[in-house]
Amino acid sequence: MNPTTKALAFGPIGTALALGSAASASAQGPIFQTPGMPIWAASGQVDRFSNQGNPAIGALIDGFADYVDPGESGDDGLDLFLRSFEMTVNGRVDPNWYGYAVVVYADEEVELEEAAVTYAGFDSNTTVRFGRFFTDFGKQMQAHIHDLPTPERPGVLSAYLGEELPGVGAQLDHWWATGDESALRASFAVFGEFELEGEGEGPIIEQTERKDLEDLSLSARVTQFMDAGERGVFQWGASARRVGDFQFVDEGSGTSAAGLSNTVFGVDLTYGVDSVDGLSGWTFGAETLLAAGDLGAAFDPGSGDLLVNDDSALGHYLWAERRMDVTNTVGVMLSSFERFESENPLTTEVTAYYTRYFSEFARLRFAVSHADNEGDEDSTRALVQLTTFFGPHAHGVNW
Amino acid sequence: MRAIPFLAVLAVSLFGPFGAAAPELAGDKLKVVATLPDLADLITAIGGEHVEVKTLARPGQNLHAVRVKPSHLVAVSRADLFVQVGLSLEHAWVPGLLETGRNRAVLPGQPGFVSAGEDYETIEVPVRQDRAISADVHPQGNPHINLSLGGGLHMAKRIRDGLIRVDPDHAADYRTGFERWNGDYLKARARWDAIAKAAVEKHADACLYHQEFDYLLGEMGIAIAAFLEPRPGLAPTPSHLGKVIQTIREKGIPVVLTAPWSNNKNVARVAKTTGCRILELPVMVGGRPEHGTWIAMMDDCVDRLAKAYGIDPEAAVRRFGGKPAGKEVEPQRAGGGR
Repeated sequence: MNPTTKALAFGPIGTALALGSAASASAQGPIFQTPGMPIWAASGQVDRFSNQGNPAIGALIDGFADYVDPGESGDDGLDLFLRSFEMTVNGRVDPNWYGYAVVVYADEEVELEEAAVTYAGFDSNTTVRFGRFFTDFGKQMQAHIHDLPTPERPGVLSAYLGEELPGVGAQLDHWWATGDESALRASFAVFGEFELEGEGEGPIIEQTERKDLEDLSLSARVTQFMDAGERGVFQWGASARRVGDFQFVDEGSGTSAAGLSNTVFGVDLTYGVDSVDGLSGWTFGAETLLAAGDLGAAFDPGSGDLLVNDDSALGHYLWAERRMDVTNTVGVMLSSFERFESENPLTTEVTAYYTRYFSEFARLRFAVSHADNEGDEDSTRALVQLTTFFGPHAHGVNW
Repeated sequence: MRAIPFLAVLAVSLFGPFGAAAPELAGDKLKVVATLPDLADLITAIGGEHVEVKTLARPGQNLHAVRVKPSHLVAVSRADLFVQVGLSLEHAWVPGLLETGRNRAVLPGQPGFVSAGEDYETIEVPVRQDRAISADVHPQGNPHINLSLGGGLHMAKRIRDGLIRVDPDHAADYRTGFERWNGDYLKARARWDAIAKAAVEKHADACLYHQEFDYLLGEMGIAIAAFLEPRPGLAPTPSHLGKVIQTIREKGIPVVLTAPWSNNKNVARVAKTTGCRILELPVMVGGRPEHGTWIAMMDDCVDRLAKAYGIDPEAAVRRFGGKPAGKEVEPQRAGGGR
């Protein structure tokens, strides 16, 4: 006898108890389908899920304490702040689809950073991803900032592409075996728009909502990685990201420059080698970026026009890390890049860090960085970063 | 015109790869990928000439630190059969590898996927899945069954069944290969059991770094008194090591057991302070020349463990008999773990 049948046999009190019981088990929808309501048989599964059917839910806290000396350009001093609290969900849609979403609280705002599904049901090494996801550019841009080996993203990537570069679009991805010990992957993505950061006091960036086909934003990457001996892996890659149609807007004067575009090209090399037990090793990485097109703009009070800097700029970073054992890691990163300003002044940054892993889910990082800004004040920063992971942690990162 | 350089990169990314031909593995052998050398040894012994085995983890490599390599990806994409220990032993890297490999034939639930440790009578199954208990959470229990005396037989049976499933034409050969291996195993097992009987009489205690050898110690009748890890997956702290040292002294433990990857300064410090020896046991086949097969590795483990506790293995075999039983020896439940 099921609960409802039992309730009918034992009167109104029994009915209430039985329906209460049935309702708690049927959390996904009403028992009866009334006219005008969704037809479950056509729109989804109505079976009850146990908790095992739910997506994996994870969270992290990334906190900082730092001291900054920005020279004459600002106040120095100490600060403690929560850079981000992140929640992720990952799960299968069905045997052919999987999806994930990342919601982040940072700078007193809650933002959906990623929400994407991937179709992997082809009889080949092809997948298609759709939704809002980080652009497949170089070694680092798919990774969320707290997952990086360094406390901050290399300056050249932040300046040319953004601290993080989510976009809404679709991506085709495929890999090929190129021998027994190497594989090559290529991706191509079309975006309605990227989330572009307009930093500093200059004009803001606005993207048109509806575009012609040739004005869509694009990204492409080709990368190959290969065994380098018994314990090493070498990888090279080439990437491009094009912003198809945007405008600079100077909010103070109300002037704007529309119909702009720019493209960033990148080449990356990475080599890692492990000890016999895999717990220690070295990693070396380098990336060069070339930005070309409409890179920046400045309002000219004399003419009353917004002068667009249609130019190119070059930047690089180098990174070396030594994993000493399972709990201790040290590294250094050097980044040098031409800024998107008139005359392309150079910024050079160096960061040295030490990371202590308490377990696979908690780490404490100490770092010192110095930026030498041509034509501007130099700045120095010392920081402590604590990052802790709750539950599973995963993002949709390709190799 | 600005789009032209971008399109050039795109063209390379989309059409360049077609020029790179992927050579196929030679012959028509069954392509089997094994996560551990232990599994590869069993597959080779049972599959014989019909299989070509690719092993992923290096001997002695910490399974939490396996860097997935391109050769792994290619091997998985071409595999007819994928064999893992399972029980979450390789969960840090196998799920992602299988997903990226995109070979449907070897995905979990398919005939080409073998979780060799599945259904083993595991020990130390957590009461609840909670990282408050340990940083390493293995929901199905201690996954190190490749270091259990009964683990080899269990895995061998499942490998035999997996080979027959994907290659039924050679089923008879696989059964023969298994029986041949099982004959060797029964001889070795009889010897190990004799030595274990001698060990049980010692009523000895053990101290070890991590939980790799809990099955073996239980099967040898040696109780576990202390771990150097305060909790699985956490590095030792000074205060915890102080307690470990006290326990070793109180119980008269003669050795600190460690795996190759955890034979570190903390082990050395405990050994130096207490005066006990360090006994580094293998965790995988192939770590040393004499550990070429799973049976040889376990033989060495049992012998060295026995000697560390003052037992003469040959004398134990003479006393308790070392003749093989006439039938398969079923896995024996270990009882020494925490």
